Amino acid sequence: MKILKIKAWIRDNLDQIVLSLLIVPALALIFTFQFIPAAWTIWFSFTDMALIGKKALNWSFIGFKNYLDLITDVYFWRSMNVTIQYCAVSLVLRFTIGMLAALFMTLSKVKGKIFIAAVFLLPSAIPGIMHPYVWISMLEPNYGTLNTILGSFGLPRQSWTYGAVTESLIMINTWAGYTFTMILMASAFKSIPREYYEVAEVYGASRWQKFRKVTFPLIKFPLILCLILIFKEDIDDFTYAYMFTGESPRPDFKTELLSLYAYHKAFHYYELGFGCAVGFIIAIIVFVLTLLQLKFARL
Amino acid sequence: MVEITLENLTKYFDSVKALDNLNLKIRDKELMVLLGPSGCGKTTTLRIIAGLEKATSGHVYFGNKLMDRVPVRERNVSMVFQSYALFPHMKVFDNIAFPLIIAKYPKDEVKKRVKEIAELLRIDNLLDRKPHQLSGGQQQRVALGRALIRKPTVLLLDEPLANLDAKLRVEMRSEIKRLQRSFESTAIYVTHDQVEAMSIADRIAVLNNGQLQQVGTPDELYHHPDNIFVAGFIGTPSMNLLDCSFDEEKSILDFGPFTLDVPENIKPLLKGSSEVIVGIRARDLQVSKEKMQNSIPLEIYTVEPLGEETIIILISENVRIRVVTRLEFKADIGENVWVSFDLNRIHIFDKKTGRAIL
Amino acid sequence: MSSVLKKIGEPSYTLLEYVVLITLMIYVLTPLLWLLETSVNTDPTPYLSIPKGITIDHFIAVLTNRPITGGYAAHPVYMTRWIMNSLIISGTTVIIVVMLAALSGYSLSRLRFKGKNLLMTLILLSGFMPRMAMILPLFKLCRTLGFVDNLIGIAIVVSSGTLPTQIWILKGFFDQLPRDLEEQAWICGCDRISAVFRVILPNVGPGLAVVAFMSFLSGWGAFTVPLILIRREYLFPISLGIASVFIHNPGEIGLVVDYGPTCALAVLYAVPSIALYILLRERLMEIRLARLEVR
Ligand SMILES: Nc1ncnc2c1ncn2[C@@H]1O[C@H](COP(=O)(O)OP(=O)(O)OP(=O)(O)O)[C@@H](O)[C@H]1O
Ligand SMILES: [Mg+2]
Repeated sequence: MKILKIKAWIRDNLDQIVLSLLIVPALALIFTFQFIPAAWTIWFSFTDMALIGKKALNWSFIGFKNYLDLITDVYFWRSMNVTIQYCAVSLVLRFTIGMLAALFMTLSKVKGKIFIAAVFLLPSAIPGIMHPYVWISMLEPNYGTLNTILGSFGLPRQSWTYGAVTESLIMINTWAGYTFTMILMASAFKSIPREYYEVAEVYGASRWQKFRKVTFPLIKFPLILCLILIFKEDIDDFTYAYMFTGESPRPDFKTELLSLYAYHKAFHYYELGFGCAVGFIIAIIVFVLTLLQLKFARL
Repeated sequence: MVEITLENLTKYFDSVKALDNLNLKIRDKELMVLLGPSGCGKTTTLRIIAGLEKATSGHVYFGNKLMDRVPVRERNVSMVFQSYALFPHMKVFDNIAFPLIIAKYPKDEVKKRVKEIAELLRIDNLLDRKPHQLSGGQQQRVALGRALIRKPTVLLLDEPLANLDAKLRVEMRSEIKRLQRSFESTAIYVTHDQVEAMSIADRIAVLNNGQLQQVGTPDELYHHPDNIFVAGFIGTPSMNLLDCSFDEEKSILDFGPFTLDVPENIKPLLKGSSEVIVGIRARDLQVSKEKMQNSIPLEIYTVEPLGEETIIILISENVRIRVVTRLEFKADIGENVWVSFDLNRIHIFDKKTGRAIL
Repeated sequence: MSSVLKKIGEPSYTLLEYVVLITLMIYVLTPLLWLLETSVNTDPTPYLSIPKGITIDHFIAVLTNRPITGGYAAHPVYMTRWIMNSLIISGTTVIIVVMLAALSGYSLSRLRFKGKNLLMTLILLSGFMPRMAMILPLFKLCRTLGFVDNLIGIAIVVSSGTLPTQIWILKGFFDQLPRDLEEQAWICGCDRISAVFRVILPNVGPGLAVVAFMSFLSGWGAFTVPLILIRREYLFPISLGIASVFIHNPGEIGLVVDYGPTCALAVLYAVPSIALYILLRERLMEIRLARLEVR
């Protein structure tokens, strides 16, 4: 009796069932390789697990101890401070440059769009592992291109890899990281129907008005998504910071982003649980800010 | 090949009521026209019959079979969408052939039938183009070809000729009718165009605000409208509908500036009603420069010559009357003329309910 | 009058545009000069310098797997093999991501259920945990699944990371596609799936191109995941191969093995992405992003 009912239900809703099943493989993949390791990491953050030594096997559950340690850890807060500066400036620059590049590829009247597109794509087309070497050739204090240029103009040379290292990091990160914004926004600009601009022109709209009234409302959503993804990447990725730091934190902490700090804690000091706790804090920050941005986007 | 029954169909889109308790039987092999103003629920009705939309309540039957849970593809319905919905990535040939290809017809058969139908619709020279390379009217005929190629049980046509020029429209209209007859499909045909409706329909169903107003043959609707809406909607120029009050004692209809005597045979029908609306078709009025029997004086407001006949609009205070005259009748704006009512041809409606009294 | 004003106004805008454009290009290109110079310099150095002589030897060295000499240790070099590995990883990633993002993007676009926005948000946020913090669990998980030293396994893990964004992008395309196309397909006798393949997918070409390109980039540039999961050097993707040719800790420049072939490889590495982008440009230029649905 019951089986018959279920059969009838399946028959009546077959289409919707098929439709829902289409999403399952993707969700399974995301669940397995994103959520499970993430949950695992969160679990580690409540233990005193270490990477090597006795505690690697004989670890125990210690509740919120890692988090309490973290709140009272001055280095954590110094790292937080650096991270906020780095992320804020990076966000603005990566977004602005990506936007400008996108504008040059689409709406702008300049010629040679394919060439422009290819050039702007170069930084993300070369291997990421080469970024450090490319930039060391730029920033090295004695032979680097940047100081050579400054010198030839009679300007004071800068200590790019030491004193101004946070600025250097931002410079590299921006250079390597505007592409996503560029691709997304270029396409968003391009998908605005031309008629909208023609109508606006008929009504005598100025350039600024056209941007404000026609372009902006139509690109608001991809724009917010770009901001979210940029932020997520910046707070997550420490490749460039690592290249100016190495396996242990610099004494001046100028490159110690939260993610790098977590890495050092876990893999240099072997305090895996603590590192995971820092990772989870990062996750929470991303989570909250993303939700806020999505809320804002819907206004 | 099947009789379609719509039973108590009601459809809400959120809080918008698109269909209101619609009951309608479409007979086997009949061509039923759905007629009504924009937004009255015509497309919604077709979509429910096709299974694209679920009714909020009510049922659809094909013959005796309840269709509510039959998937779209198993209904053997063809539909021409108002928007054509041609597949942009396919050539015209593939668009038309699509239903046959899905049904796995042999290639030769497909080719032959596409060619036949394309010739019939005068699009056989366009088969290699993509839809975006066609004019609106050509696209519409491709959509029609795709709907007709499969000899469907039920044929749903949502304004299939709206974008054609007048001549082509008349030709296509008769082709559709002919094909529908030969396929023995039951067809529902949506249109705004009354002339088209009148000429193609076996029966017409008039809808307004999601409610069925009247079903009947074109003749019935024209000569015996059930209510004010149908009376005003059917026929060009549309029927004159004049507010008036019935004075039972004096036995007259009082229009304000003038009155008419009520014939004896109508009097009992009017008993008890005071506010009524009198309807009379422009063609059932006669104008003359001299006074005639049962006639009233009016002033000419505008004159619209239409070729074979002329439409004259007459006014007297706040009453406006449209009259169709022969072309020979010459008159100037501002001139006073006499209009006589053929009292056997008037319609009387209750003002409150809108229903026909006579 | 206004047209005169316009004529006066426009050139200054254009001039400004060119100034900004050229400044940006200098910023983008200057660092790359070194890469280009070194890849053809007979005497490569870690810094930008005027080449003493021009040569294509480095490119030939890369393409013939000539071992890189000098420096610390002679690493085994499997350049062509690495290029193949990278192609396998990114090709598989493209296939997986395009397929799954298309199916789930379509499903999310057409299904209506409570909590759909929540699910969409969760999908977007699925990568919220920093990669670094997940290294150990990810490694343990992949070892259980046999994904260690397994190129397809790498592609699967990389796909899971880029899928969320791609699902969002494709859902936007499906949202914009007129519903009546698939409705017409059903009427013509298609079921849900065949309508998707015959009518829907062919009409979201630009969307599929965007997703294909972005997932290609994420496969081609994958570094962390293969770093964790690949032990055997002949299974390295190029990114990792280059890393292994350079001795680690890039902060210490002196240890670098051989700049010439490495820069040549980097230049070669850039070619597929740029080529693919130019190839897909017209289609890429039409993106629509999913938005959460306000009801
Ligand atoms: N998907 C929808 N969501 C909300 N309201 C809808 C939807 N489809 C139709 N409606 C509403 O339902 C009513 C009937 O619409 P329908 O499309 O059936 O009209 P129609 O008679 O076909 O009009 P037209 O002659 O202009 O095509 C209209 O008021 C319309 O606004
Ligand atoms: Mg309609």
